[in-house]
Amino acid sequence: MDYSMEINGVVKSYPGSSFILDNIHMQIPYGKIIGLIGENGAGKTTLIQLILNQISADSGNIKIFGMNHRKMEKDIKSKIGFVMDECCFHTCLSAKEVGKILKYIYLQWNNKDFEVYLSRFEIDQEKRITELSKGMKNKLMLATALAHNPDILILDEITSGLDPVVRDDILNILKDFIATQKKSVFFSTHITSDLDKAADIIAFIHKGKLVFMEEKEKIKNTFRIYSCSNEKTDNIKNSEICAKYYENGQWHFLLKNSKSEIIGKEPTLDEIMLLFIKGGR
Amino acid sequence: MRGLLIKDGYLILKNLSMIYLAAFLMAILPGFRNPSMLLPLLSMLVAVVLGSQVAVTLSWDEKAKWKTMLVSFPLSVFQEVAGKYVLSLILSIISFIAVCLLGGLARRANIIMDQNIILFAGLSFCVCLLYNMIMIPATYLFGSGKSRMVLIIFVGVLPTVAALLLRTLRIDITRISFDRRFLAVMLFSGMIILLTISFFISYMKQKVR
Repeated sequence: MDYSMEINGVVKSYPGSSFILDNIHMQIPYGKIIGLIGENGAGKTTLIQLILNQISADSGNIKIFGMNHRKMEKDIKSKIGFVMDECCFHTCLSAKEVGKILKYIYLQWNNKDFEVYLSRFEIDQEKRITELSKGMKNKLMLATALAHNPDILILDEITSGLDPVVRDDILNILKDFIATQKKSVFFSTHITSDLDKAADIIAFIHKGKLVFMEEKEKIKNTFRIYSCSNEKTDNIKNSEICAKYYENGQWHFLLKNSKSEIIGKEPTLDEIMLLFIKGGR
Repeated sequence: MRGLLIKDGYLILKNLSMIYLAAFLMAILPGFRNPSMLLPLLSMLVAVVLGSQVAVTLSWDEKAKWKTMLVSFPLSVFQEVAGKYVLSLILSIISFIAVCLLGGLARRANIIMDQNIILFAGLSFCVCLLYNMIMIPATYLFGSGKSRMVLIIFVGVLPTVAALLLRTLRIDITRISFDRRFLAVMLFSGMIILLTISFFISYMKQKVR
């Protein structure tokens, strides 16, 4: 088994809404950090909810560790560490009490590891969650996700709203996590600079469709960004244009595998997202 | 499920306040003036105070968005729902024991002469369990805020309607003699049926995704 997770043709729509997560195919290899990017409402959280079987797909299937994610839900979830933007532990509990609760929920729970993570993250075990800062709460969530030794970590926007130091700490933890064993990280975020630092593969979802899923380095070699005035657009071959938009008297192009003689610049993930989103309007 | 019970245990202990004790004492005081009322009052109060703790944990779960966390745990919906019913059963047993102990103490101190301590303890157990048989599915269905309305309907409206119905039909319930054993069997069977229906509603509601 080469992939920790395989998503095959997953479709999800909601009654009364025009949004549709459309025919998503993804393969998540071991030993990689996969960054999931997309605008608000693109379908990132819906995809994570489908993976966690919180909602049902209209069609398609998801295999995690080679098992059907609906039939083997309990076995799969015992090997998944899930962290989201919000701390959903009761605010009156302390980190120590959270550990005591989770000890009986996860069979592989390791309290020693949990304590090590808490001290590494400088979280006071006795302090109530309500007294912790947002960054500390996110770190506590991460500690609980790591302490049961999962094979895949699924993170939903955990770095948003955090200062750069805490974000950097979290990214380093993720790198350590995949470096030692056969593990994967599936990381949804708005902050593409985090992915520049940590991700190996980038998956971009736009309006419910998977636009691309490529190695980060390959993306940089594949795409070029080119801006020019109206008169110079003739130099560009239509087949190479992925997205374009017109703003402030200039055309902005995202070119794919461009063999034209024009010299574009290497785009950042932010620029790629921006071009796809603005170009799609 | 053990983890969920421990979590609820922490929530109950952390949210028990002196207000509960003060309210309990305030309500029990009239019982000392009229000792014949002490045991009925005590059994009802213990049942309601302990029974309402499950609703308190459900309300805390809702506030913390615990459900979002819960669905990522390796727990089935059955375990999730059963956790609340087991907690309710534990609290009902505690209420039974509490009424036995407090009633026993009151008898030892010659405050009451009542011989029916076990009967009232059993009543406390049933009320505590019944309270949660209504509150658990009601909270799952309507949320912790609106579930109180459902409770009001059960506690206030239904007995009133029943009393009015008996009056209209000119049935004097005090003149009907019940066999105690028959009553106990009926009560036990009724509780089992209600418990099954309550659990089924809660389970089906939580299962839908």
